[in-house]
Amino acid sequence: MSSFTLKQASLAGTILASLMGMAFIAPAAAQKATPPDFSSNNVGWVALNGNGPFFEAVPGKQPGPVTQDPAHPFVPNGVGKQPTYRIADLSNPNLKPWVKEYMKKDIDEVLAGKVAFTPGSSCTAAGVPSFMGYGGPNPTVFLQTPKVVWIVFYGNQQIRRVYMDVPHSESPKPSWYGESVGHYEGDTLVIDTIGLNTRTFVDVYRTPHTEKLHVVERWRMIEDGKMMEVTFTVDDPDAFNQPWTGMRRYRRVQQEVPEEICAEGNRHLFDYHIPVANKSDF
Amino acid sequence: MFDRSSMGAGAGALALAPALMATTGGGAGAADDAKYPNWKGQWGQILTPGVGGQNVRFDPTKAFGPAQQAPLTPEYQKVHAASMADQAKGGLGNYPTARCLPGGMPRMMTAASEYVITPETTYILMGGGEDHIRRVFTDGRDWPAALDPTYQGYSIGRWIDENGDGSLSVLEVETRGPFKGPRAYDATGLPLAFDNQSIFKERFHLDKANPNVLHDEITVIDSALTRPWSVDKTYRRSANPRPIWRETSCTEGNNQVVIGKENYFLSGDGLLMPAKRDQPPPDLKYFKPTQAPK
Repeated sequence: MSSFTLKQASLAGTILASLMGMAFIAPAAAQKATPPDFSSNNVGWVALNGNGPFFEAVPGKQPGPVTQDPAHPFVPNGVGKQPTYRIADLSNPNLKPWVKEYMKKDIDEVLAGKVAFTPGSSCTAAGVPSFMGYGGPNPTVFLQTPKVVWIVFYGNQQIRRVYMDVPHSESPKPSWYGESVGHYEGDTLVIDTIGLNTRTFVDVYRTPHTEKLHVVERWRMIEDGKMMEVTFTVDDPDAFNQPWTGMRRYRRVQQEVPEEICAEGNRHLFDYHIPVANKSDF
Repeated sequence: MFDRSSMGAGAGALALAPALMATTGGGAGAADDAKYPNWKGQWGQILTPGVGGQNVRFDPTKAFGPAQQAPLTPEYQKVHAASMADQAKGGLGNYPTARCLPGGMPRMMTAASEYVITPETTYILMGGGEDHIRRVFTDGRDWPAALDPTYQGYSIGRWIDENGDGSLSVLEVETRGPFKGPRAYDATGLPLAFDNQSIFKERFHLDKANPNVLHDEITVIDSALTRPWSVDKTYRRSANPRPIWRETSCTEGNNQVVIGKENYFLSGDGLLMPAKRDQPPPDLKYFKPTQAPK
C-alpha cells in the first residue's frame, strides 16, 4: 500500500480546485437535500477513531458495544510503543456464556502469542456491522439510486447492496454481507440487514455471532454535511442477552480513490531490498 | 496513489459528456436521468454453448487457451506454451489470479456485473471474483501525465447519442496503464505483454434487437500481439429483480501457498506439500534445527 507523499499532497489542492471549478454541491446543501446526498462529486467518508475504540457507545443508550479489557490496554500502530491486539472485556454482562467461552479461548491464545486474525486479515469480507469497523485512510463511498444504494469500502473493494423500499425476502441464504433493505427517513438512510453468515465477527474484538444476527443502521450527515454518523443496533438473541447499540463517525473527503488490493499484501519482500540478516537473532 | 500532476480542470478532447449537474439530492437522482440508457440489473456474459473449457475467456465464441487463436507474437507464443507446461507439472504458470490477485483488464470483464451511471463516473460493479469495481470517468478530464500502476487501468469514457434522438446510447471507453502484472486473459496464462502498457478501446451499448443484451465491443492493443485483437463480448440481463451476487472469497479456500517464486500446496491434512513432482521444500534457514513441528 503506497503512502500519500508530500508531492501528492501538494497536488491535492489542484485536484480539489479543479473539482470545485465544476458544478459543486456544498456539504450543507447535501445534508438538507431530499433524499440526503451522500455521494455527489467524488464525496467519500473516512472513518474516525482508527486508533481508538472502533465502535463508540451511543450516548444514553445501553448496552453499548464490547470494549477493551482495561487489564490489557490497546496500543495502536504508530505511537512509538509496542502495538497490541484488541482484547475484549469479558465481564460484559451482555455476552452469552458460549460467546464468553469462545472469546476467552481466543484471547488466551492471542495473549500466548497467536496473531489475532480477523476475516479482513485474509482479505475476506467483514460482514455487518464490522463493515463499519473498517478504518481510514480508505474512504467509504455511497452510490445512490432510487431502487438500490451501494456502499463501497475502497480499502478492499468491498461492496454492499441495499435494496430500497422493499421488504426482506422470506428466507435469504446466509452470505457475507447478508440481505440489506433500506429506506430514507428524512435526512437518514435506514438499513436493515439479516441473512448474515457466521464467518465474520461483529467487531474488532472478534466477537462471534449466529445466523440470527439482525442489524439496523441509521446513516446521516451531521455538522452541516462535513461529517457522517452511523448508529446501529445489533440484535442476536443467541449471542447477546439484549440488543446493543454502537456508533461510528466519518469525515467528509473529496478525492479520487486509488485501487487498493488487499490480497497483494506484502508478498514480495525479497524484491523490496530489505536488509537481510546473516543469522537469526532469536 | 495517483500522481495527478497534469489533471486538467476543463473538458478534455475525448469528452462529449455533459458538464456536471448541480444537483440537490443529486446522488439519488442523477444516476436515474432519462437521457442515460437503462443498464440496470445484473449482466451475465453470454458464452457460445458447446465450446467447452472454462467460462473465463476473452473471445466468448471460442474455448479458452490456445483455441482463442490469439494473435500472439512468436515471443509470447513461447510464454503461453511455457505457462501451460508449468501448469501441467503443478505450477501456476503465468496466472497470478490463482493466488487471488485481481485479473484486471481484460479478464475482469468476464464477471457478472452491474452498471451504476452517474454524470461523472460510470461504475462497473462485479460479483464472484477478485475484481470488484471498475470506474470509467466521464467528467471530461484529460489523461493524467503519470499514474500508479493498477490492475484495472485508468478509464476515460464519453457518452454518445448515436441515434441522434437526444438520448445517450453508447459509452466509448479508452483504458490505459500502466497496469500491474503479469496479466492473463484466462487460466492457461494466455499472456498480455509484460511491459504492462496495454490499451483497451471499448464500445458499450444495448443490442438493437434486444434491450436485455449488452455489448462490450473490446479491442486490445498490446505489444504481445501482432495486431489489435477485437471481440464482441455480450451479456444478458437477469430477469430477477433481486439477483444473486456470488460472494466468493478466493482467499477463503485457496490452498496455494506461494513462497518466493515457488508455489506449494496446503494438503487436506493441513500440512505443506509439494505442488510439483520432486519439488524441494522451502528454505527453512530461519527455523532453529531443534524446532519440531506441532
